[in-house]
Amino acid sequence: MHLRLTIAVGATLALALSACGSTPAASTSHGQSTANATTPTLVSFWESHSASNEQGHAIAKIVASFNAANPHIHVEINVTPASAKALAAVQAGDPPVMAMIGHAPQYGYEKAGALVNMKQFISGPNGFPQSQLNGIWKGVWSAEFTPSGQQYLFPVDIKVAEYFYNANLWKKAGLGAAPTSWSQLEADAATIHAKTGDIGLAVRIDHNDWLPQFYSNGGNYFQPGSSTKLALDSPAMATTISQLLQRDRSPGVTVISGYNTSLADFGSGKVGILENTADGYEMVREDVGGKFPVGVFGPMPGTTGKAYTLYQGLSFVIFSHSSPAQQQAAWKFIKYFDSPSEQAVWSVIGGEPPISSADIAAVKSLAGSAYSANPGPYAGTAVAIAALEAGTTIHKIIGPDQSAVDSVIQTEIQKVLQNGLSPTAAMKAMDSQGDAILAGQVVP
Amino acid sequence: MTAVDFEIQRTPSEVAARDETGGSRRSRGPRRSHRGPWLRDSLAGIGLVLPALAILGVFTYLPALLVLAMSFFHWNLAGFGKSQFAGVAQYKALLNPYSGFLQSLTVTAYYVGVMLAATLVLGLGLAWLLRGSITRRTRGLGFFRAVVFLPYVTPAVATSVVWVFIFNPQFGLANALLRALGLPAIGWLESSTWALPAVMINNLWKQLGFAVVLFLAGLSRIPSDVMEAAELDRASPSRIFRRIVLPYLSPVTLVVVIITTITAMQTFGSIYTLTGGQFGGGGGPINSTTTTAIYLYKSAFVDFHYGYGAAVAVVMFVLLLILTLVQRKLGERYTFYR
Repeated sequence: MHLRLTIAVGATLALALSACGSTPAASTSHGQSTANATTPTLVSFWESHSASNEQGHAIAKIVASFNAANPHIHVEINVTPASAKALAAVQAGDPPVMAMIGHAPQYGYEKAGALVNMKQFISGPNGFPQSQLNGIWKGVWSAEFTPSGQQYLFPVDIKVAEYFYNANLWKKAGLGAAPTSWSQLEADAATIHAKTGDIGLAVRIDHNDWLPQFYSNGGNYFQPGSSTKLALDSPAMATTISQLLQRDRSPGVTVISGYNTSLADFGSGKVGILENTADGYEMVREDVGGKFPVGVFGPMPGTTGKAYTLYQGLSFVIFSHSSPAQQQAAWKFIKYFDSPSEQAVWSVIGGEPPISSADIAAVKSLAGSAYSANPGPYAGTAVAIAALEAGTTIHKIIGPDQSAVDSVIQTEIQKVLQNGLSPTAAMKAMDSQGDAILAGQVVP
Repeated sequence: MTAVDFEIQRTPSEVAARDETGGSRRSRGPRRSHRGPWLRDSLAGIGLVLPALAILGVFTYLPALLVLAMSFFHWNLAGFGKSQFAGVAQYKALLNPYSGFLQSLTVTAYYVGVMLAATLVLGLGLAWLLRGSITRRTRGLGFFRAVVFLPYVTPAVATSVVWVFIFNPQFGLANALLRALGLPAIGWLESSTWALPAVMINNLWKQLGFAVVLFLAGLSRIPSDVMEAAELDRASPSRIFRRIVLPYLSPVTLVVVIITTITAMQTFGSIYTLTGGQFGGGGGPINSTTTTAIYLYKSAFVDFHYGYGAAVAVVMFVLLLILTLVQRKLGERYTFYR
């Protein structure tokens, strides 16, 4: 009796554990590698935009039209924190066919041989149209490569810095044109605060703007001819820190921390100007809910007279675990998503700028006469396109130590802003710590 | 001799001796002479334990061993075959002042210390207020006990999101309260000074209920005759508290100390929700909320140094183990079991 009970318990456990190893979802990811002619090739696609916001709607629309036009392929969206979750999926040997991920995780995937090099598709027989390829924004395109020149990423989600303003508060404060200098921005913020009692300018605490401002002031990440020695201890960085200090201490300027709460704060109608990115325009409009018009302007120039803008965003990747048929199908979808007609949908509905200058005509055509209106439904996209067309888009340091170095720099800037550390000491620390990280002396 | 003095003078060893002679131990009974039934019972026992053991083995012990092994490798997602052996290099790197690990230990020590002290004082204080009377029913007591315990059963991330709004410097409830009291507003999560206290407030609100329940259970086990005798002897409330309540509560206090220490050292969800995402996924401004748990996450999943992250996890485990053993040892010395 007891022995039978033992065997029964053991057998149940074995069944339960074996069931854990194979889920229906897992089997659908790869089941199509042996698909016959009647079943469409399944392309599981992980991406992180909420299905309920405008970007999610735009993606769903593009996927639906692709599936309708290509009955032999079926793209299946899975809304999930793709950048992080795919790491575990790769380790488990069961990643999706493709995903939209951030740039930094690619190095972990690269070491594991988990990503497909896009070059074979881009220049292959079913390659990316040359005219469109030539028009991909320079700063965006160069960020898609690893330091060794491999290309696992293909651009799709482009974020560049923008400032949103509450046009009602703007009018109440008697302001006219958008500011063209940092000092004017601070003066406008002070005016809004003085005349309305509300927050003039809300800026992000993490200072993602330090890099473009640094470049606008004539700075360079690395010492000449080096890709491992930082050149942050420089007059350009001193000017940048001084500008940030002055800005954060200006009357009417408030430092905020949470990205989502910043959108909600702006939506409450009590913030005059909000520092954000093109990506946030549609989201902030959703938070505002039509209570007031939202205008947009781009970053101001630095001492060089140029206004650099930082490219951050997500890119397409294809995982090498998938079958050749699935990889081809995924590439076909990427080409479709990044085609001018679908980039127009992505820009007009999702509020994201297109990946190439060759797409602008399609965007303008779909947006119609409202394209140039600012405030207006497409103002975020139009301002982002103008910034990208200016050719002053830069990207973060390329390489696996990007986030560690960035964290050091931001921490040192905060030490100056919050703890009163001297800018000289902060800049020296940035270089010494950053160099140590890049040389592999901190984490071997 | 008063009842109070009687309780004080009885040492833990005397109590233990009394308990043993009191027949609390189960007698063994006659030794089994047949091997068959013994084997059958053993197999049945093993069969019953096996499911839990297998689940623990697969989902806890095996991953823990893998983490230990990973910490000696430059870990590759493709597995050990493609990972490069690093020896103890990653453990040595923890001591590098630029790595930030030592700073994370300082933040953790500050966080754990304050959480422990606050949980003990506030938990016991609230339990004392909510203990009720032995002789008569106190109206509304159940309701207040439920109110205190309720935050403990709410999901950490969801409530932390609400706390993000509470700590909003411009429109949040926390600063509205300060302003109403005539006090200056605080930057809370934006401030390197106030970000960690904000996290502490959030977690105290959430976790205090559990400590209160434990203390209430401990208080209910104090024999009423001892308390009555002390009151008859006109012992002052503070003396009763110090000489009867605290000694009787010492086993519960030890449990609260160990659980709070472990929970505080492992706190992740609320810190990440309140201050994560800034500065590349680390803690708040100037790493002010980068506890060792957050540092572990940042190392492994933001900077993608998996092996190094595993080394952090191993050191964290060892530190927790040492702390727990020390607390247990101290507990054996100062805990009064009746």
